[in-house]
Amino acid sequence: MEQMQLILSLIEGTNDLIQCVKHDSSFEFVNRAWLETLGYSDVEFRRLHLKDVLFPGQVKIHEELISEVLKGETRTNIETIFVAKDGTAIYVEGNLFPLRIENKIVAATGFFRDITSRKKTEEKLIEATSRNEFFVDLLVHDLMNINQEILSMAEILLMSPEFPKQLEGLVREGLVELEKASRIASNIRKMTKIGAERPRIEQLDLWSVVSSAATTAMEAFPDKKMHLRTDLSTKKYSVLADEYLKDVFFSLFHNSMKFDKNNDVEIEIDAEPIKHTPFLRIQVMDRGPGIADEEKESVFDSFTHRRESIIGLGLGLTLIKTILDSYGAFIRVEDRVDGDSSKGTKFVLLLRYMNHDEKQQGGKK
Amino acid sequence: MAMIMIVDDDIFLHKVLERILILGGHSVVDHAYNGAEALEKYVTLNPKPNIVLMDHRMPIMNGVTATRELIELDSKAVIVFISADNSVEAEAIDAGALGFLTKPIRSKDLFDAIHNYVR
Repeated sequence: MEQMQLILSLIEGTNDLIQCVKHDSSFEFVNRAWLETLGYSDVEFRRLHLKDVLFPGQVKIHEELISEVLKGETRTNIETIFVAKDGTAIYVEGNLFPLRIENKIVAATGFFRDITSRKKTEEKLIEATSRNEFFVDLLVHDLMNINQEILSMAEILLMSPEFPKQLEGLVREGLVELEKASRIASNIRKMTKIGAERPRIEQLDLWSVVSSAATTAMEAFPDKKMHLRTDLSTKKYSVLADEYLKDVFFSLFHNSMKFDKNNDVEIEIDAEPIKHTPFLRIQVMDRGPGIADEEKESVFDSFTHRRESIIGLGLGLTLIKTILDSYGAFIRVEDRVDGDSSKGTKFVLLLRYMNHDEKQQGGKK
Repeated sequence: MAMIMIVDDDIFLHKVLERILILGGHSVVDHAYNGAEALEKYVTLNPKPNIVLMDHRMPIMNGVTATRELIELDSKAVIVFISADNSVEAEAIDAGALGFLTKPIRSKDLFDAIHNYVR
């Protein structure tokens, strides 16, 4: 008897909605939380049927579930939408299982948790993310068009025979700055997209991506020369990544080109599988000014950096981290020469890859 | 030297691009400000332009749709995108465009593309 009292107090005390639905879809029992949440009295619920408290689009699917449970099945982690007496939609998740008395199924019992607040928050988050993506996309798109116009006007000036030669350098520097601004805007758009979408992972030939990124980085520095030393070659390694992997290597190469004061910029890149893991370790090393030890921890987190780093190093590295995080890859920064941060930087990337055997098996991992 | 058609909804961009193209020794044979207008004008042009420089985001009909329809009308049409929206690059190529340049582009890249794609 005491145990029965305990069970009853638990049923009545919980905030979860508990209901027992009979074969004719009427309610055998509902608890206090159910009545309070849906706004019915202890008398009213006896006249209700299941369809009276379900959101119209949910009736058929929920009645089918109840029917299965009344045949002895158990259904877990189901989501549905109840409708309160005043018309409010109540989002719930829970389990359904048969209630047996003397081996006979007499009702379908449901335990449901009210997740309306969570659902509303999720909806708001999705809406805010979409709005954010829309505005960033619109802003960047229009900004790129404006930048195109300014860039083209400057080039028209440079092509004009009347344009004073002594001002050419100034205009050319302006063009470089304009392209830098465009790249920042483009990076912001990419970061927004990466945050909002699932990555489209595919097998990419590492060398193709690296060489394409190196070419683009070289084009950004017409007065410098990149000397890329590597043991990579076509089809040597296939990595699991998406279209943004090129941005990762481009940003690394671009930083090396930018910060190395020499006109001949040496960059080494090598790759090696890590035994017994699905990862390929890729090391990108330069001979630039390096990154001080106290900066290494936060170098990928530009939003906490000083403003100038957003324009320079920071956003590129934050983009790299965002891209790699999106498909479960890793990056860390070390000294090229152990213990001497002034001798250049070594970025160590861990990317999932397909080894030769897996490629022969059709890429199944 | 190529005969070029510019398709972009930005009126000012038409002016600067035309100027650049003329300075590069090319000629602009027609202008369109959305995809549907580009199709209408392309049909009537004789001779056809050597290359169509196509934007993507435009009112009435976007660049990818216009490209698909233009290639149906004339499979030999040479279309190169100049767009700020590089997320549609694969779609544009799939629709029949030969190249995709992401704004902002330098005149050198534009001239190289014209040189490479004009048959």
